[in-house]
Amino acid sequence: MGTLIERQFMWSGGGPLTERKIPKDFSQRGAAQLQLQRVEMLQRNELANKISALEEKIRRIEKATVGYIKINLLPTKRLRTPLDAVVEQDDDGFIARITDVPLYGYGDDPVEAIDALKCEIESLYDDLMEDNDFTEEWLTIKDFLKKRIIA
Amino acid sequence: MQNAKFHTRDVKNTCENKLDINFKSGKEFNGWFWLNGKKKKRITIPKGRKPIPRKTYKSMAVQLGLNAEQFDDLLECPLNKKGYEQIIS
Repeated sequence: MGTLIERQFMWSGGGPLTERKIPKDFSQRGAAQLQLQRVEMLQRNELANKISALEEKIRRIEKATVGYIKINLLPTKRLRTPLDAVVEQDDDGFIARITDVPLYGYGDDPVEAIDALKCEIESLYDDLMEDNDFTEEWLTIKDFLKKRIIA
Repeated sequence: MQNAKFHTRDVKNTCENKLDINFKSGKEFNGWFWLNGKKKKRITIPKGRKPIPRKTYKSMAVQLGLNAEQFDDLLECPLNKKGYEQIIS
């Protein structure tokens, strides 16, 4: 039995090339080259796996985070300065959240989620303006929104 | 997290029956939880969703001052109003 390279030569040569006919140094060089090719192939495979894992990771991140937005307008009120919000995928729909206040809006698409959030901001503002029966935390939020929203 | 088990209606019913929250109906349902004569927590419940999306479920829990597990307990029964008040006090 010859080495793998010798046998390969026998197969790929198509002819009846036997082990005896392959010069020794040629066989050694061929084996070294094959070894090098194997290493290169392994490295290429490893690189390809790493790239596909990274691509998958990027796809997941892109899917998970749609992005940060600034809310400039409310349905019936105006804002002095924009409010920061984040819109993310939420299973089959989207969720928009304000970073400073515990509020969110849900929708089938990002625009619907942002619209729902805008309604929520107004709804909370209206609630907070009704009276002062709130905990300190909510009174702070009330002050915050009073400074931001032009009624 | 047991979000897949519940309809938003279940969350609303639990909040009404267990925590005595009265909801105002707008685009979504909004209600306040009162503690010691003050409005302490405000929850927003979207209309007609099942299963409840994970982040929405977690957001509702956060609004009530709970983590997802405590919110599961509230909806599944082990957590009652007294227990809830102890958590958020």
